[in-house]
This record gives sequence, C-alpha cells and structure tokens, in this order.
Amino acid sequence: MLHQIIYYISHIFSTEGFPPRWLCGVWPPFQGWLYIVSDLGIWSAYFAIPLILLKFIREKKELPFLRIFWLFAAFIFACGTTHFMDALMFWWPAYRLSSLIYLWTAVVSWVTVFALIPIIPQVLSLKTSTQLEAEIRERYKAELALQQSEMRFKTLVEHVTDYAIFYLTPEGNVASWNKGAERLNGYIANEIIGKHFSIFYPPDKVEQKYPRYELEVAGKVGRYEDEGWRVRKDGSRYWASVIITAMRNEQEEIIGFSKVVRDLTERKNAEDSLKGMNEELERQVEARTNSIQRLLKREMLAVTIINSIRSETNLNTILEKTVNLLGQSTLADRCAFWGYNAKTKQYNMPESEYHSSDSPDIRYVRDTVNPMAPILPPTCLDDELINISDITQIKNFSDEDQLAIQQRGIKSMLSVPVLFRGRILGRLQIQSIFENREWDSETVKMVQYVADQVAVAIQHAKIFQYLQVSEARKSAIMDSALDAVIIMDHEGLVVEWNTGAEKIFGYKRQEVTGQPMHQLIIPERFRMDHVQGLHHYLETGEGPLLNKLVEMPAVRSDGSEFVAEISITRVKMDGPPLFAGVLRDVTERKQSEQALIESENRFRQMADSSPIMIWLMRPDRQITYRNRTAEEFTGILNDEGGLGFGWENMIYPDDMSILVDTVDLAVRTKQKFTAECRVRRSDGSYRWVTSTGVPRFDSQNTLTGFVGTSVDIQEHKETTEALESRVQERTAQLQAANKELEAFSYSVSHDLRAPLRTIDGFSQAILELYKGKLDERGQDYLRRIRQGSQQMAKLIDDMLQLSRLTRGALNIEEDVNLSEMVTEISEELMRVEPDRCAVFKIEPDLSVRGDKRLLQAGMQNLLDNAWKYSSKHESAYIEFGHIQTQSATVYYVRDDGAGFDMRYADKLFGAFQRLHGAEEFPGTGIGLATLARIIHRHGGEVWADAEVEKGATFYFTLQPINIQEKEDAKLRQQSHSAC
Amino acid sequence: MQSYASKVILLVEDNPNDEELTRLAFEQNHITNPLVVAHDGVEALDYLFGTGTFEGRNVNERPQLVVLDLKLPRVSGLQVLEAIRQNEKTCYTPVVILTSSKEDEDIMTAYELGTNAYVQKPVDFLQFTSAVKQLGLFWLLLNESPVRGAGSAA
Repeated sequence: MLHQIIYYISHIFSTEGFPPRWLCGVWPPFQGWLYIVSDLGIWSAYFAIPLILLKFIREKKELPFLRIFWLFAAFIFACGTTHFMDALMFWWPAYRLSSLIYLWTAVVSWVTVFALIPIIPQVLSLKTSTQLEAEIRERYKAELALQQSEMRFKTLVEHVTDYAIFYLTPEGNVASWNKGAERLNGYIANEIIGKHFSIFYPPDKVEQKYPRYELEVAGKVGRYEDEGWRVRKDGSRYWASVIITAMRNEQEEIIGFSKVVRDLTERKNAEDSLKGMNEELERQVEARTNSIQRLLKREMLAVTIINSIRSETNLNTILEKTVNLLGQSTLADRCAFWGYNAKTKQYNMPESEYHSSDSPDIRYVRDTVNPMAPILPPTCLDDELINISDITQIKNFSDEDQLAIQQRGIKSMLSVPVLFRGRILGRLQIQSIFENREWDSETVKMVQYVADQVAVAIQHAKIFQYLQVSEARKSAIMDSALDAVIIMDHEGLVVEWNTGAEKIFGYKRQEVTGQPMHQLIIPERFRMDHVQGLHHYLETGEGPLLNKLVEMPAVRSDGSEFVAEISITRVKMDGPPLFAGVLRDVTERKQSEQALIESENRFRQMADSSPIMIWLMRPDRQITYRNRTAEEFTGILNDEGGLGFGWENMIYPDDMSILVDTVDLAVRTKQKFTAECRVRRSDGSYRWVTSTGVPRFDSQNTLTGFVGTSVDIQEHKETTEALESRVQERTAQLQAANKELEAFSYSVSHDLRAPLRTIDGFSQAILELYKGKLDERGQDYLRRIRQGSQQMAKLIDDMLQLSRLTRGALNIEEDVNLSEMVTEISEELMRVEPDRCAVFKIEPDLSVRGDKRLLQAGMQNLLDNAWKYSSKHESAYIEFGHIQTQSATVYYVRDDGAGFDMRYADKLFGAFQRLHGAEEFPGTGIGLATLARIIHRHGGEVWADAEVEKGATFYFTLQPINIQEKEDAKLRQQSHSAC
Repeated sequence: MQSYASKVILLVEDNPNDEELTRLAFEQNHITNPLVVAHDGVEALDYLFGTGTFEGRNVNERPQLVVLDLKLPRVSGLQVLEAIRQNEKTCYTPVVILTSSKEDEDIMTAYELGTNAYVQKPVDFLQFTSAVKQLGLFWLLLNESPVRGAGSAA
C-alpha cells in the first residue's frame, strides 16, 4: 500500500499505464467533443464565479460570512478544475493528478459543508431585501440625524463661550480652539493651534511635569478631572475646572484628547472668602466659647470664693481664702486685701497675701519701704477703681511708692475698692509682676463682684464676731435683717423665710414653707414668666436675673403690690439647686424718687412758663438744662442732644472774651455775674441778651456748675439807644441854642450898651458944657433921657444875669455858709445907706450844699428886696433863719416892709413882673425870677407869704418839699416870730 | 510931669461916640497926653510895630498906656493884646481893657493874655469920667514902668 502511495506520488504527473481517453473505448468524435466542450464550459464558468466572488469580497468590506465566501470560491474553483482535467484527459491521461484534484475538491466541499452548518441560523436571520431597504432607510435617517446633531455639536463646541473646549494631539499639542477657549485663555486659534498645551499652566506646574502627568492619567483611565490655577495669554491667573478625555480609534489607539476648561475663579474666590468667613466664625465661636468658658470658670470661681467665705465667720480666714482663690483664678502674681482704718484714714498691712509660686512673697521684702500702704496713685479716690495695665504710664506716684513699685517689680495692677453702702472697708489689689497685663472687663467684673461679696462677708463677720453664738447669731442676722431673705428650691417651693420676709409680705414662716413661692409673692400677671424662667434655667442654666440687682413688683398677703429690689443667687451645693432671694421694699425710695421727679417737673414747668431764659451750666461751660424760653430763643431743644451743648459758638465773636472774663472772675470771686452780650437767636440774628449767673460750689469749694437767667434786651437796648441818640440830638440842639443865646447876650451887653452910653454921655456933656444955654425944662428933659438910658442899662444887666444863670453847670460845694453871706450883704446894704434905721437878725452857721456864686446872687436879690420894700417904714427888721420840717430844711428871709397882696402871689416869680409901681419902688422885676431860677436849679422850691404893709416872708429849700410841709413851715415860722 | 504928659496914650476904639466921650473924659480930668486913636486892631498893631499906615514910625517910642476895646473890626482886642505881649519891645507896655462886655469869659481871657486892668464902660457918663480919671491917675502918674535900654531913655 505504502509502495502504491509512494509510487502514486512519484508518478503524479505520469500517464504511464493509461491511454488517452480518445483511445479508450469508441468515442465518436461528436460525442467526444460534446463531452470536451461541456467540460470546458463548466470549467470556464467555474473559474469565473470565484473571480467574481473574489472581486465581491474585495469591493465589499464589511461582508458577513467572509470565510464562507472564500470557501465557496475555493470549492467552485476546485470543481471547475476537475472538469478541466476531464476535458484534458482526452489527450493527456493524467489520472493520478486528476484523482488528486478530485480529492482536493472533495475536501474543500466538505469543509464548506462543515462551515455552512454553524451559520445556518445566522443565514436564516438575514434580512430580506425589503427588510433591508426599510432598514437602510431608517439607518439613513438616523445617520442624517446624527450628522445634524454632529453639526450642531460642532457649532456648539465652536461657539460655546463659557467653556474652553479644544482637542489635543496625543503629544499634547493644541489641535482645535473654540470661542470659549479664545475668551478664557486670550489666544486666538491661529496663534495657539500647534502649540503645546503646557503653555496654559503656571511655570511651577510645568516644571513638575504636571501637564504630561495629566495626559498620562487621561490616557490610562480615559478621563482626568482637575481644578487649579491656569495662566492666560496676558499672564493673569484663573481658577480652572478641567476635564481631559482620551479619544481612541477602533484599534484602541489614542488619537488625541479633548479638553474642557471652565473658569471658576469667582466660585473659587467666593469659596475662599466663605472659607475665611467660616474660619473667622469658628475663631469667634471659639473665642466666644473660650470667653464664656472663662466667664463661667471665673463665675464659678467667684461663686466658690463667695461660698467659701459665706460659710466663714472668721475674718482672717475669709480674707485668706479670698486672696488665695482670687489670686489663683485671676492668674495674678500677687493678691492682697488691705483693710482701711476709717479712724487713721490709713490702710492696714495685709494679714494674708497670695503670691503665685514663681513670684516672691512681698512680706520678705517688706522691710524696704512703705510696706503698709497699697500702691495707689495719689489722686485716687477712696471708692475709685484703679486699673493700670502699664504702671510706668502713671507718673505721679510718690517717691516712696515709686521705689516700692521697683522693689516689688510691679508691672500692672488692679485695685478694687471694697465698699459697704458707700463706705470703704479696704481694697482688693491684684498685681502682675512679669508682664504688663490688661485686666479685661470680665476680670474686673469678677473682682468687683468678689469685692462686693467680701464687703458683705466682712460686715457679716464683724457682726458674727460681735454676736458670738453661731446658731443664735445666724438666725439673729437672718431675722434682724430688714430685708426679706427667701430660699426656694428647684421646684419653686419655699424652703427658708426670714423675719424680714414675714414683715414685708405678711406671711408667717410656717404658712409658707413648702408652698410655691410664685403664688405667694409674685403678682399674678408675672407668675407664668417666673415658672417659665425657672424651667428655662433648670434646662439651660441661663438665668438672666441671677446675681443681679433688679426691681420688680411683688405682692403682699393682703394683695397689695409694691416695688421690690431683688437679688437672686443660686446656692451652690450638691443636689438640686436652691435659690436665695433677698428682697427689699423700695416703695418709699420709689416714692421719693417719684416725688423728686415731680418736684423737678414742677420746677421745669415753672421754669418753662417763665418769660426769661433759665439755664444750668456745667463747670466746663456746657449747658445741661435750658427752659422752654431758652429753647425757643436758641432753637436748640434739650432732648435733641442740645444738652451738653456749648454756648460759645452762639455768642457774637467780639463779645466773647469779655464774657469769658466775666464768668472766670465770677468763679474766682464766687460772686454772681451779669454780662451783656449779643447771642444768636434761632433765626440767625444776633440779639442783645443780659445774663445773670451764679456759680455754685459744693462743700469742698469745688465748682459744681452755674445756674442763671438770660433776658433778651434787644428791644430795650434799641429803645435806650434811640432815646440816647434823641438825648444827644436834643443836647446838640440845646447847645446850639445856648451858643446862640450866648452870642445874643454878648451883643446885648456890648452893642446895646454902647448907644445907651452915647445917649447918657452926650446928654451929660450937654448938661455940663451948655448949661447956660438951656432953660430948666431943657435940662429936666436931658436928665429924663439919662434916667431912661440908665434904667435900660440896669434892665440889660439884670437880663444878662438871669440868662447867665440858666447856662453852665452848677459848681456844687459842700459847705456854703449862708449866714456869713447874708451878714456880708446886710453890712454892705447898711454901708450904702447908713442913714436907714434897720435891724438884721441872722441865724448863725447855716451852711448848705450848693453853687456859691448862684446862691450869693440869690441871697443878694432876696436881701435887696427886703431892704428895698422896707425902706418906706421908719425902721426895718429883717430876719434870716431856718425851720426844720419832717423831710426838709426851709430857709427864710422875712421883712416887715410893704408886703404885697397874696392874690398876686402867682406873679411874684415871673420875669419882668412887678407888684409895685416903679415910682414907689424902682426895679426891673427880674430879681425874684432870678432867685426862683437859682433855687430850682438846686432842686429846691421857693415860695412867699405876705400881707400888705405887714411885711413879706420868702421861704426856700434846696430839696423837694410837699405842700403840707410848706404849710407846716409857715405856721412854725409865724409862731416862732411871735415869740 | 512934663515928660509923662508928653507920652502918648494909644486909644483903640472903633466907636466914634465912645472915642469922643473918652476924649471928653480925659479933657475933663485934665489928662493932656497926646491921644493916638486906632480904629481897629490892625491899625493899633501898625502903630505899635511901625507897619502899614504907620510905616517908618520910631517903634522905640512906645505909648505910655494902651486903652483897648475888645470888640473891634478886623483884629479883635484880645488878639491885639496877645500881639503886644508876645513882642519883646511892647511886652511891658501897660494895657487897660475898656469895654462894654462884662462877660466872665472875656475878663478871664484878658487877664490870661496879660492885661494890666479890665474896666467895664459904665453907661452913666459920670461914672465913666470917674473911671477914666482913676485910670489916668494910676497908669500915667503913679505907676512906674520898668526901665529900658538907652533907646527908650531918649
């Protein structure tokens, strides 16, 4: 067999043993050729089919069942070859080769069969052509939609401005660029395409090879998301949100990256600021928490101190505990209590002192200087709180204290007075020796609070010491207290109720113990608040009323209400809380406050209704009150912040300095002041105002302020000014008139007399020189001419005298001796007419205050008159004297001459008025007018009393006198003369 | 007596009536000194200082007495008095004011300016002649003027 196979293979192309087909059998040519031609026809067809198939395969790419096609082509080609071999064997009997080709054909055919079997179901599912057509149509539509969508997407990408969208080549170079990218990065497409995208990164990121890393990650994971700073073309930064997506082809090769970038700078900023705010908030919350915790801690410490000292009755223990606890809780280096001795007005050396572990006990350095006194600025008041953060800032310490500060190394200190009802008991002083410490308000508050409690504790301790027996004294204090002390448990039930409470509320202790407190003493309308408040405290620990002095209404057992001052504290002890309330009836105080307010209101109403301005001023010259009139004047209301308002800018600038001087002088001399100045009224006009103010001082002679009034005197001033200018005008007119009068008198005295002299002189000359040529009648006429001219000269002289008296000022002298004056005149009269028999009676030493020259002229006239009118009697008696009436001194000159008829008395003192003929008594009628004018100019009066032929009396005063007194003087003079 | 009588009296008077009455009064009292009359202040000063109408007059021949009215045209009597007292040549010349005015002010001013006497002209002519008589007696006979230098002795 093997031989046969080897032979077969080695003789595959051999025709050995076989004749050509033509020679095998009897082949008629026709039949033979039909066979050959058919075989060749089959072969050519079977050759063409695989070619077409091959073409088909090549042209149509995504052909399903491609293997089957190849197999078909192969087996068809193999079949064709067998037919070709059949035709060929008519001439070339290669049966061995032909059998091999048959074998090959069979194999390929079976392979095809086996290949076909598994794909039968698939082939069955193949669509029919109509189905395909529909499908194709569908697909076309979808494709179209896809295309449109793609277009839209592209447009979108290109025009989107909020996002930068661009593609990168696998190496990272920019391949596309949209509007958003242009806007965001500042590059336009032409300048950026082809560049590496690391250009968008800050230099440090580039150095870290961050861009490449991004692409690597995107390549591996498909997508990379990031937020971070990027750089624009102009170098500015923005916070970008970046998404990089890798793009791959079918072969899963990276063909590039898409990159979507969004500017989130604003969001980033907002986030940052939010973050900052949150952090700040957190810090604040933390600080607040800390401060609350500190506060709580301090409050707890304060309460601890208070509790520890409350139960204590020993003063030293109280102080020791206080300074130790206070020193620890305030983290002070030193803390001590200096007791104040009210008798010596000195501070005692502290019994106990706290000092922190790292600061020396000052008791060891006490033997240096001034160990006794607490260090205090000299200006410090007893009840003043001293808070010094940097002691070097205070310059006015005494030298001793300065040295002590250095020796003790004090840097800062807080000194709180311990006051009981305003009386100083001592000082709690805490010091820092290592740093300049700001004593915050909480510390200050706490120390103050402790100081208050220490004050009470000291007071209590003193009483305790005094009372000796513990229980007895406790109840005694409790019960002797005027205040109500009530202790309430957490359910609001009364636990303790002292005598004070019994007195104030009218409930007995036994009645109320265990009763709800709010039903006893709180007015019904507030009860719910109380219950809620208690619950609130128990739940949250917040008790706004705790540890404070508050005023609230309370109700007594009889239902009457009153205002109580209450302080409530929580009694610190284990178990449910207890609350201690101390209440005081402040109704009276309230009433007196109310009375004070009412009194003040009354004062204000009164002040407001006053037409003058009333004001109060502080020592710093700020107005603290002004009444309504003042408000209206100034236009500044008290309740519009007008208080504390300086008045300086309302004063007319020119008047300012004198006003300030006046006020300063008033303060120095402690006298009231009055000042006139121009003040701006609400309408902007300056008006003259006269102000009177009184500086007020306290018992220490310290200026406490001013109270004063002001009056608008503008109109008064204007009137006065108008009056004054009128007076001046009148005076000027009068002066002009006087001038004229003087000129007139001058020419009268000069020019009128000259012709008179001529008349008289030449008349006399004629009488003398031509006596012989004139008869007696002619001579008589010439004498009459001379008499007339001389009479006229006398008239002129008298008139001049009268007019002179109305002019010029009075020249007043103190002692004008009228008696001497009258004596001289009388002597002169008697000398001129020595033949007259006359007696003068002159009262000596009558002196007056007046113008000597005028009085001389007046007395001359009076005595001339008396002399003249008594000349017709054989003898004359002329008297000068005085009468003292109730209010005036009356002088008189009396004669026993011709007298006159009192019916004409009213004409007596008129100028040129005469009661006697010139024949009888020569005269000009000017003498008494002159007298009257002289007396009137002295402010006095002149009058006369007479009877015909029984003489006349002329009275005068140099001061005003009433009619009654005139009559009185007359009667007394008459009775006097009668004697 | 002769030397005194030859001395000039300067009467300064604008009123011719008063001039005449004064002459009359001098006459009646036998005062024979030459009477030079100036009718106003200017004329008086011209005479005294050898100016104007009296140009060339020997000013060393001073009047024995000047009788001066106050109310004068042009230059008043008080001004004349002032000029007399201010000039060293005339400052010792006796001047008597004879005037109608009895005003205090006039009297005061006249004395301040250095008048030797002040006489009011009385209206009564008898009183007037009496006054002139007194004046002449005193100023021309009794009064001794201070002795001057050689010029005045001649």
